[in-house]
Amino acid sequence: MSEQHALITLEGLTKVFYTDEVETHALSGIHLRIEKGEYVAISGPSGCGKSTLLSILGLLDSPTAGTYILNSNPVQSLDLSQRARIRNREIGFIFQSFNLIGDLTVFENVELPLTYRGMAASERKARCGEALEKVGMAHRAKHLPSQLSGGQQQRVAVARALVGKPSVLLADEPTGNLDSKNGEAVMDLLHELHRGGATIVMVTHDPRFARHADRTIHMFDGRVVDESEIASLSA
Amino acid sequence: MNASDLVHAARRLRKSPAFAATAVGALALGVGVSSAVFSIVNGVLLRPLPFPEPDRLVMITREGDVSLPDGRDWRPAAPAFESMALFLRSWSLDLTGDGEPMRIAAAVVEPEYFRVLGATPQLGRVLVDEDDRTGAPHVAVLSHALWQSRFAGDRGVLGRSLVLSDEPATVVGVMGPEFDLFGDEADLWIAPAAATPFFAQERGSNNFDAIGRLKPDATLARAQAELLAVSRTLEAQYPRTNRGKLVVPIGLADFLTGDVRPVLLALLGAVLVVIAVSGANLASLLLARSAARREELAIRMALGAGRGRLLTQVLAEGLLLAVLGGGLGLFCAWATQDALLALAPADLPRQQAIAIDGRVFAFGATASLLLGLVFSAVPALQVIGSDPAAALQGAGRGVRPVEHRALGLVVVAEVALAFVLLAGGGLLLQSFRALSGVPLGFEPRGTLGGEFSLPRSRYGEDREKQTRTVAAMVAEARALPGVTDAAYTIAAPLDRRGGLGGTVLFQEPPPLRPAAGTGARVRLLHGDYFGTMGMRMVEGRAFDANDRAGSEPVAIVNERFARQFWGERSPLGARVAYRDFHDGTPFFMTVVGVVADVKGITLGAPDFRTIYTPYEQRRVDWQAWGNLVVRTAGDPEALRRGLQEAVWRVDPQLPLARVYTLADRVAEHSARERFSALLVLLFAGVGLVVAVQGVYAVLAFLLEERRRELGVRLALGARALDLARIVAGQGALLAFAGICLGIPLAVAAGWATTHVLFGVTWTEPFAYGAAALSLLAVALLATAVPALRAARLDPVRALRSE
Ligand SMILES: Nc1ncnc2c1ncn2[C@@H]1O[C@H](COP(=O)(O)OP(=O)(O)O)[C@@H](O)[C@H]1O
Ligand SMILES: [Mg+2]
Repeated sequence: MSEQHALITLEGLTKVFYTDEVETHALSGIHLRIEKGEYVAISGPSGCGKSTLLSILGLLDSPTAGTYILNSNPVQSLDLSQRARIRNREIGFIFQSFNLIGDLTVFENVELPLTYRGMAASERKARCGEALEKVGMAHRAKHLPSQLSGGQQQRVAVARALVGKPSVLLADEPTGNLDSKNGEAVMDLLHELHRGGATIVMVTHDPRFARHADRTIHMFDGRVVDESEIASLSA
Repeated sequence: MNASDLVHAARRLRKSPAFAATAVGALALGVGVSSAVFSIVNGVLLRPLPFPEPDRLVMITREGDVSLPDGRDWRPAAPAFESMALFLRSWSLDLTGDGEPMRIAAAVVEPEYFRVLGATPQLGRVLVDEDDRTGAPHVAVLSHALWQSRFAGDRGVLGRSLVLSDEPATVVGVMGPEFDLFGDEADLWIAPAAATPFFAQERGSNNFDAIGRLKPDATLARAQAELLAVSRTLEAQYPRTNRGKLVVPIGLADFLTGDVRPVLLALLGAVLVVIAVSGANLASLLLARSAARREELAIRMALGAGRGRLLTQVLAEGLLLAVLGGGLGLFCAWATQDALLALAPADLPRQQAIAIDGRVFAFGATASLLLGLVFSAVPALQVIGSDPAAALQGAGRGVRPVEHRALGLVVVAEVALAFVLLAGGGLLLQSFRALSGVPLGFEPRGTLGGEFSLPRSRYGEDREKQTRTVAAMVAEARALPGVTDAAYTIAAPLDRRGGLGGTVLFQEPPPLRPAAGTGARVRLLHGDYFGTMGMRMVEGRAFDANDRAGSEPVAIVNERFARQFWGERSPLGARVAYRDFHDGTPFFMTVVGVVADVKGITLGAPDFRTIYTPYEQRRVDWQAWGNLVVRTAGDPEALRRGLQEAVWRVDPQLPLARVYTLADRVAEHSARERFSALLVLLFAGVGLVVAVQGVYAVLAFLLEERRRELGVRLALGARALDLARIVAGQGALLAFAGICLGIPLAVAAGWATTHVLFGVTWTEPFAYGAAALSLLAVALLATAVPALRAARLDPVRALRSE
């Protein structure tokens, strides 16, 4: 694949947290390319920096050093409102704990990214219906999240992530709060979306789920490592 | 709880200074205001009178008071009383010799007065029965204040001789500073026999009050029955003077404070509301905080911390808040006490008993502890009371919606209350301003006046000597440097007595006959009184040097008099006379002028119909008192001493009493309105702060609770502004709902209190508009901090808190 198809390029990406005079190097010089349409799994032990990496990819956080190029645009040092705009248009988030907003119906939850985009109501309605259809939750549009099972809630969350037709879906342990049956179902859904052309970056430490991905990136202590290296490092 | 708990709590508070400051502020405000107001209620209603067994003290009242002989007949007929005394609260005397002459207020009391009250002197002795025998040497007991000011607290004052209105009297004792039953500020006490023979043994000369001490086993009802019987006997015996004169005993405390009791109880109610509301606010602040601390508590519980232990921790924090907030509140109440009292109207009884005493302190301390401990424990108990697993599970999820709604309702009620108070305070303030702004008809600035009375002993009935003296005093006053005008008047404006009252006779019947008869005030003048007061002539001329004792009698009437009897026609040239105030034959005076009305008695009411006449032309020999008034271009206060000295140059023995500026007099006349506006605005200020705190607490709480949701919204592309708008929208909603609830309440309150308003009606939109605007403004302020915090929310952190 050629250079211009790279959706995401990270170079020397570093993130340092300063808390109570302790420096935590959550990410130390990450180099990474993710092509359009790729399905990437990120795995590694707890605390190795997976979530931090995902936050930066999702422009929720900014790196301490290094460059991040998204869709050919450097985005590592944008201001807050520019980041909000890109987040809204280019990124779809799926969280471990679903994070549906309890006061809003399923439909309203899914509609939210489009609302922030300032889209007209009629178009919002069509897009939401489509997204809910895709995850098989259209019949629950008027329900409140508390009336749904965990698996159903996560499917709504997926619909909310993809309704804005983002460039990439970011999922941080999307099955972490689900039993294995529901977890499988959500994984199947992601797989299906991938087959439909979606770019997906998913954090997981379950090798069974990593199998669905095109490739798996292994992290250790803030760095990307080879699979072979893992064995020696953890030995 | 031990020291380390407190240290720990202090450290926790120091870590969140904004919370600590707000909570301490909420407490200080609640405790401070309620203690300040409670100190008034306490001083006036609750503090025992400073006499032994005050419950047995009874005022024996009779309409129109009582004469010495009547009162002395009560004594043997009312065995329910252990003792009983007649007394005259204030009798003006000139104290001369031994220093500058001064006018003093003597209380004329039967010696038994001291026995009734159980009062002992600080120095020497009180009056004894022998002092009240006719012909006994005159003695006086000094007040502590007079002893200090006139005799510099010299213990050798006992045995010194005073001259009281030209009669010698010997000082036999000095009372303590507390001895002032009615707040009259009496300078000394003398027995009736030592006062002028004016109080002679005459029934119908009703100048006295009476006070008694019940026997330990006697009841008020028994006293009442006995007094009723003796009233009937006296009525039968002396029908001319005693017809229909019923005697009624009233407990002393009731007598002193009966009028203000309902007002003070209402104030006390308001205080309780303030406390409750500060408590609610403290609770919401703590709730907001505990939403964040819940998890910590739950984890500690899961780790096996005992409930008692956790509660102790929470209580330590509450205790610390209570001590800080309560201490600050009590300190502020103490520090502002004098300022508050200085603004109190003069007719508030027992003001001398108002202080931050042990009881007020205990009240404030109890309130703060209750607020601090109870309200800090309540939110924590929710976590501590549940089992650890549920607590841990619930920890992330925040508070149940019921609490949320309850909190919202409390804040809406707070805003509504603040609105009512603000609108009410606004109406009262406007009322006060209207009262301060009424056209006075005279110019109070730059005027100074003082009262004098030419003593009979030296001026007797020598009318010519009186006139000469008054004229000389006016001339001396006019000659003072800085004085532009001086005059004599029997009554200056805003004097509740307002001159002599009398009936007017007309030589020719005037065109109109007002229903209210032909009564009018008579005000005697010398010098250019109208010029000195800045009063406007409407028609005709003022008095001049040609209006002398022997010349043609003249009069000037005020506008009200002219309009009521002559309507639009001119009264000039008409001839009027008094039915009284002459030596037997009424004499007619020609009306030569009409002068504009002044506020003669109060600011709120029009002046009496008035006839002004020259002092020189009076036909009575007993009218030898009045006011010397001057106008100056400079500060009238600087003339106080000069005015007195001007009088002394004419008569070195003659004191000026009650030297006043008319500007002060105008201010005094609106003191009540000012004080009520002040009190209500004080409460309104509290209400405002409370509302701000409430709105703030709810929003802070909301922010805490919805942190995660806001993080999700950020992840979905919401901008900082979108989040700020969510929070600010909640704040605006609370304020709006509160104002909507407040408007009908405030209008109802305004309508119900319409009778105390002057020059403004309850429909006045300004008060309501200003209240709404100021509430919206402060709600905005309260919203700003949480909204900004929402805008700065770090999405990663918000989302991490799983
Ligand atoms: N906001 C933060 N402040 C301080 N340290 C943090 C913060 N976020 C993450 N870390 C630290 O960075 C490291 C990586 O964390 P994270 O990316 O959450 O790991 P993972 O998701 O792989 O378990 C950890 O050591 C974590 O403690
Ligand atoms: Mg993680």
